[in-house]
Amino acid sequence: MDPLSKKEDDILQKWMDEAGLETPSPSFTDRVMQAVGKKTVSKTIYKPLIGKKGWWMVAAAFVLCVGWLYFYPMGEISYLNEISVKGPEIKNPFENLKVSRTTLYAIGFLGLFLLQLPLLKSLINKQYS
Amino acid sequence: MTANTDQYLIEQIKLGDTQAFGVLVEKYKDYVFTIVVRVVKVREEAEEVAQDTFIKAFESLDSFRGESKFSSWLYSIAYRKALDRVRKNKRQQTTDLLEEITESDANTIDNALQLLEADERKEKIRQSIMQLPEIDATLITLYYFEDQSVKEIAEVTDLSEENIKVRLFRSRKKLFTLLQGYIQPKIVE
Repeated sequence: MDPLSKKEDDILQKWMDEAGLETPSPSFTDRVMQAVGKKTVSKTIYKPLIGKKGWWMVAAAFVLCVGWLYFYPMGEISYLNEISVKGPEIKNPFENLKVSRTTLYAIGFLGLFLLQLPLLKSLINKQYS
Repeated sequence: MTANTDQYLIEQIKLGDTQAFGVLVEKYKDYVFTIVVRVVKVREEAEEVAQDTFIKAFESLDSFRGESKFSSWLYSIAYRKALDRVRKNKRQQTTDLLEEITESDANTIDNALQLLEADERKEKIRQSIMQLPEIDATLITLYYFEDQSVKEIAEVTDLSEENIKVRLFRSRKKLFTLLQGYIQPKIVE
């Protein structure tokens, strides 16, 4: 599709300037202001995600937990030992593999990058949808 | 004149100065009314819709975050309200005339227009714009009267920029065709 030529565009611009703007009746502003006078800008009231009551409950739960641990210490029990897998020993195939620090950083950043991609994509999609 | 920028006025309105809204209404009423009347096509109805637009803008001013221009935000309300009205009335036009207009045609039309009295010429151009389907009329209006960029028009109309470019091209051709129709009898005489 060929674009409109500059000449055609100029002619249209001239016509549109000539047609000018339409004007509503003289009492327009008064009528709007009259209608608006009865209303107020509806404010979106700030409502915290966790209310006052919520914070008290969180604090109470925290104190309760700390108190419980203080009175009934569980230092002797090691959960990790109990849940460790008691199966055949699997030998780590990469046991002798030595990776330089730089490579580790590179892998780390690559991982982060790949993680960010879908996040950013959905964010941008949301913005432009 | 920093005291009268849109953003300053909006802050004042949010602080409770309702009168500051009057300044915004005065500033934008012609633009809003022009968009609306070109979509709705009937002056009385357009006036109602334009009024509703400003009331709606006032009520939801708090949700205006200043990410886009105030004018774009206001026009998008006007455009949506006008389209709603047209849909309610179910008299959407589907004029699909698209003849090939060449540059020399454009010149001929322009020459013919120049022969008319200024008032008559203005009227013919207005009538032609009024004949355009709603969306075309809005795009043409926004594109020419405010020198709005395609990006801004996209914000107002919620259409993609690509879509707007294609539609704009067709709308302009349509306007040429319509004007040619108005002028033709004059040329034949």
